[in-house]
Amino acid sequence: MESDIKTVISVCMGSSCFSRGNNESIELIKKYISDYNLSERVILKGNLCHANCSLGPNMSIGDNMYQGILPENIYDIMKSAFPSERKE
Amino acid sequence: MKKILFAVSIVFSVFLSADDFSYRGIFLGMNKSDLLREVDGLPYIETSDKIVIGNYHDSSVLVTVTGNKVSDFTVKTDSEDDKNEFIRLIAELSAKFGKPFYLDSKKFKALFAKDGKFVSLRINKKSSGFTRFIGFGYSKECYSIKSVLED
Repeated sequence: MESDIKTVISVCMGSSCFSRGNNESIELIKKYISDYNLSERVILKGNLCHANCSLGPNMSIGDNMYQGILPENIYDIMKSAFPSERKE
Repeated sequence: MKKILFAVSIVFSVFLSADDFSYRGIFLGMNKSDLLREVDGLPYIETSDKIVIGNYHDSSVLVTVTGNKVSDFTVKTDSEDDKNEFIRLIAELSAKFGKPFYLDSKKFKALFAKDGKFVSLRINKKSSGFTRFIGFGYSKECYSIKSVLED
Protein backbone atom coordinates (compact mmCIF):
# COMPACT_ATOMS: atom_id res chain seq x y z
CA MET A 1 0.00 0.00 0.00
CA GLU A 2 2.83 2.33 0.88
CA SER A 3 4.14 2.37 -2.71
CA ASP A 4 0.61 3.19 -3.98
CA ILE A 5 0.73 6.64 -2.50
CA LYS A 6 4.45 7.35 -2.73
CA THR A 7 6.55 7.87 -5.82
CA VAL A 8 8.80 4.85 -6.24
CA ILE A 9 12.44 5.53 -7.03
CA SER A 10 13.92 2.26 -8.20
CA VAL A 11 17.67 1.82 -8.63
CA CYS A 12 19.25 -1.21 -10.26
CA MET A 13 21.45 -2.98 -7.72
CA GLY A 14 22.54 -5.71 -10.12
CA SER A 15 26.28 -6.09 -10.08
CA SER A 16 26.90 -4.43 -13.43
CA CYS A 17 24.85 -1.27 -12.82
CA PHE A 18 25.89 -1.19 -9.20
CA SER A 19 29.59 -1.35 -9.91
CA ARG A 20 29.42 1.28 -12.65
CA GLY A 21 27.99 4.03 -10.49
CA ASN A 22 24.71 3.07 -8.84
CA ASN A 23 26.53 2.36 -5.60
CA GLU A 24 27.36 6.06 -5.41
CA SER A 25 24.07 7.18 -6.95
CA ILE A 26 22.03 5.49 -4.22
CA GLU A 27 23.83 7.50 -1.55
CA LEU A 28 23.31 10.72 -3.52
CA ILE A 29 19.60 9.96 -3.92
CA LYS A 30 19.30 9.33 -0.20
CA LYS A 31 21.02 12.64 0.49
CA TYR A 32 18.70 14.44 -1.90
CA ILE A 33 15.66 12.85 -0.25
CA SER A 34 16.92 13.97 3.12
CA ASP A 35 18.01 17.47 2.03
CA TYR A 36 14.74 18.16 0.26
CA ASN A 37 12.54 16.52 2.85
CA LEU A 38 11.07 14.02 0.40
CA SER A 39 10.94 11.01 2.68
CA GLU A 40 7.17 11.22 3.10
CA ARG A 41 6.64 11.38 -0.65
CA VAL A 42 9.02 8.78 -2.06
CA ILE A 43 10.14 5.24 -1.44
CA LEU A 44 13.60 4.15 -2.53
CA LYS A 45 13.77 0.57 -3.79
CA GLY A 46 16.43 -1.64 -5.30
CA ASN A 47 15.78 -3.78 -8.35
CA LEU A 48 17.45 -5.78 -11.08
CA CYS A 49 17.03 -4.33 -14.53
CA HIS A 50 16.22 -7.55 -16.36
CA ALA A 51 18.94 -7.87 -18.99
CA ASN A 52 19.10 -4.13 -19.60
CA CYS A 53 22.27 -3.60 -17.62
CA SER A 54 24.22 -3.10 -20.86
CA LEU A 55 22.24 0.14 -21.21
CA GLY A 56 22.85 1.08 -17.61
CA PRO A 57 23.42 2.14 -15.00
CA ASN A 58 19.63 2.29 -14.79
CA MET A 59 17.07 3.79 -12.46
CA SER A 60 13.43 4.83 -12.63
CA ILE A 61 11.30 7.44 -10.93
CA GLY A 62 7.65 6.54 -11.18
CA ASP A 63 7.08 5.58 -14.82
CA ASN A 64 10.15 7.38 -16.11
CA MET A 65 13.20 5.28 -16.94
CA TYR A 66 16.70 6.72 -16.85
CA GLN A 67 19.55 4.86 -18.53
CA GLY A 68 23.27 5.46 -18.56
CA ILE A 69 23.06 7.55 -15.42
CA LEU A 70 26.13 8.73 -13.57
CA PRO A 71 26.39 9.98 -10.01
CA GLU A 72 26.94 13.49 -11.32
CA ASN A 73 23.53 13.33 -13.07
CA ILE A 74 21.58 12.51 -9.94
CA TYR A 75 21.00 16.05 -8.76
CA ASP A 76 19.54 17.12 -12.12
CA ILE A 77 17.41 13.98 -12.42
CA MET A 78 15.95 14.44 -8.95
CA LYS A 79 15.47 18.16 -9.52
CA SER A 80 13.51 17.51 -12.72
CA ALA A 81 11.41 14.82 -11.07
CA PHE A 82 10.60 16.90 -7.99
CA PRO A 83 10.81 20.49 -9.26
CA SER A 84 8.81 22.18 -6.54
CA GLU A 85 10.79 20.90 -3.59
CA ARG A 86 12.99 23.29 -1.65
CA LYS A 87 16.09 22.37 0.26
CA GLU A 88 15.57 22.23 4.01
CA MET B 1 1.71 -43.33 13.55
CA LYS B 2 1.14 -42.02 10.04
CA LYS B 3 0.46 -38.55 11.43
CA ILE B 4 3.71 -38.64 13.42
CA LEU B 5 5.68 -39.75 10.39
CA PHE B 6 4.04 -37.03 8.30
CA ALA B 7 4.88 -34.37 10.91
CA VAL B 8 8.47 -35.61 11.17
CA SER B 9 8.87 -35.56 7.40
CA ILE B 10 7.52 -32.00 7.21
CA VAL B 11 9.89 -30.79 9.94
CA PHE B 12 12.78 -32.62 8.29
CA SER B 13 12.06 -31.13 4.86
CA VAL B 14 11.77 -27.61 6.31
CA PHE B 15 15.08 -28.11 8.08
CA LEU B 16 16.69 -29.35 4.88
CA SER B 17 15.32 -26.41 2.91
CA ALA B 18 16.75 -23.92 5.38
CA ASP B 19 20.12 -25.61 5.17
CA ASP B 20 20.08 -25.74 1.38
CA PHE B 21 19.39 -22.07 0.95
CA SER B 22 22.12 -20.54 3.01
CA TYR B 23 25.54 -19.06 2.55
CA ARG B 24 27.69 -19.10 5.68
CA GLY B 25 25.69 -17.10 8.24
CA ILE B 26 23.08 -15.76 5.82
CA PHE B 27 19.98 -17.83 5.08
CA LEU B 28 16.53 -17.44 3.62
CA GLY B 29 13.98 -16.37 6.20
CA MET B 30 16.40 -14.84 8.68
CA ASN B 31 15.35 -11.60 10.34
CA LYS B 32 16.84 -8.36 9.06
CA SER B 33 18.12 -7.54 12.56
CA ASP B 34 19.93 -10.90 12.68
CA LEU B 35 21.35 -10.25 9.23
CA LEU B 36 22.71 -6.86 10.29
CA ARG B 37 24.19 -8.46 13.39
CA GLU B 38 25.81 -11.13 11.20
CA VAL B 39 27.45 -8.50 8.97
CA ASP B 40 28.20 -6.02 11.75
CA GLY B 41 31.13 -3.78 10.85
CA LEU B 42 31.05 -4.51 7.13
CA PRO B 43 30.21 -1.85 4.54
CA TYR B 44 26.67 -2.00 3.20
CA ILE B 45 24.26 0.05 1.11
CA GLU B 46 20.56 -0.22 1.81
CA THR B 47 17.28 0.67 0.12
CA SER B 48 13.82 -0.10 1.45
CA ASP B 49 13.97 -3.67 0.17
CA LYS B 50 17.54 -4.54 -0.79
CA ILE B 51 20.92 -4.49 0.91
CA VAL B 52 24.31 -4.91 -0.75
CA ILE B 53 26.93 -6.05 1.74
CA GLY B 54 30.61 -5.85 0.94
CA ASN B 55 33.55 -7.98 2.04
CA TYR B 56 31.44 -10.75 3.53
CA HIS B 57 33.95 -13.62 3.58
CA ASP B 58 35.62 -12.00 0.54
CA SER B 59 32.27 -11.85 -1.26
CA SER B 60 29.60 -9.30 -1.97
CA VAL B 61 26.05 -10.23 -1.09
CA LEU B 62 22.87 -8.73 -2.51
CA VAL B 63 20.00 -9.43 -0.15
CA THR B 64 16.30 -8.86 -0.76
CA VAL B 65 14.32 -8.17 2.39
CA THR B 66 10.57 -8.79 2.33
CA GLY B 67 8.50 -8.26 5.45
CA ASN B 68 11.65 -7.78 7.51
CA LYS B 69 12.98 -11.20 6.47
CA VAL B 70 15.58 -12.32 3.94
CA SER B 71 13.62 -13.57 0.93
CA ASP B 72 16.36 -13.83 -1.68
CA PHE B 73 20.10 -13.38 -1.89
CA THR B 74 22.99 -13.49 -4.33
CA VAL B 75 26.61 -14.11 -3.50
CA LYS B 76 29.46 -13.03 -5.75
CA THR B 77 33.10 -13.73 -5.17
CA ASP B 78 36.43 -13.32 -6.86
CA SER B 79 37.87 -16.28 -8.67
CA GLU B 80 41.37 -16.77 -10.02
CA ASP B 81 40.23 -19.51 -12.38
CA ASP B 82 36.61 -18.86 -13.20
CA LYS B 83 36.14 -21.70 -15.69
CA ASN B 84 37.36 -24.41 -13.34
CA GLU B 85 35.50 -22.77 -10.48
CA PHE B 86 32.32 -22.87 -12.54
CA ILE B 87 32.76 -26.59 -13.21
CA ARG B 88 33.49 -27.22 -9.54
CA LEU B 89 30.38 -25.31 -8.50
CA ILE B 90 28.24 -27.18 -11.04
CA ALA B 91 29.35 -30.42 -9.40
CA GLU B 92 28.77 -29.06 -5.92
CA LEU B 93 25.29 -27.76 -6.70
CA SER B 94 24.39 -30.90 -8.68
CA ALA B 95 25.07 -32.94 -5.57
CA LYS B 96 22.56 -30.77 -3.69
CA PHE B 97 19.93 -30.04 -6.30
CA GLY B 98 20.40 -32.68 -9.00
CA LYS B 99 21.24 -32.09 -12.63
CA PRO B 100 20.84 -28.45 -13.74
CA PHE B 101 17.79 -27.97 -15.95
CA TYR B 102 19.54 -25.12 -17.73
CA LEU B 103 23.21 -25.13 -18.56
CA ASP B 104 24.90 -22.86 -21.03
CA SER B 105 28.63 -23.43 -20.88
CA LYS B 106 29.28 -20.81 -23.54
CA LYS B 107 27.66 -18.08 -21.52
CA PHE B 108 28.62 -19.60 -18.18
CA LYS B 109 25.12 -19.83 -16.83
CA ALA B 110 23.35 -22.66 -15.06
CA LEU B 111 20.06 -22.96 -13.29
CA PHE B 112 19.00 -25.52 -10.70
CA ALA B 113 15.56 -26.07 -9.26
CA LYS B 114 14.38 -27.82 -6.15
CA ASP B 115 11.05 -27.73 -4.36
CA GLY B 116 9.86 -24.73 -6.34
CA LYS B 117 12.96 -22.71 -5.57
CA PHE B 118 15.73 -21.84 -7.96
CA VAL B 119 19.46 -21.50 -7.65
CA SER B 120 21.37 -19.92 -10.47
CA LEU B 121 25.07 -19.91 -11.05
CA ARG B 122 26.81 -17.51 -13.34
CA ILE B 123 30.24 -16.32 -14.30
CA ASN B 124 30.00 -12.81 -15.61
CA LYS B 125 30.99 -12.33 -19.21
CA LYS B 126 33.76 -9.86 -19.80
CA SER B 127 31.34 -7.95 -22.02
CA SER B 128 29.01 -7.35 -19.09
CA GLY B 129 30.79 -4.09 -18.41
CA PHE B 130 32.60 -5.02 -15.26
CA THR B 131 35.40 -2.59 -14.89
CA ARG B 132 35.29 -1.87 -11.19
CA PHE B 133 33.32 -2.79 -8.15
CA ILE B 134 34.16 -0.08 -5.70
CA GLY B 135 34.18 -1.22 -2.12
CA PHE B 136 32.82 -4.63 -2.98
CA GLY B 137 35.49 -6.44 -4.91
CA TYR B 138 35.52 -7.62 -8.49
CA SER B 139 32.92 -10.32 -9.10
CA LYS B 140 33.12 -13.23 -11.46
CA GLU B 141 30.67 -15.88 -10.45
CA CYS B 142 27.47 -15.90 -8.54
CA TYR B 143 25.19 -18.09 -6.60
CA SER B 144 21.69 -16.87 -6.65
CA ILE B 145 18.46 -17.80 -5.04
CA LYS B 146 15.28 -17.61 -7.12
CA SER B 147 15.81 -15.07 -9.88
CA VAL B 148 19.22 -13.80 -10.57
CA LEU B 149 19.93 -14.55 -14.19
CA GLU B 150 18.49 -11.19 -15.07
CA ASP B 151 21.22 -8.88 -13.90
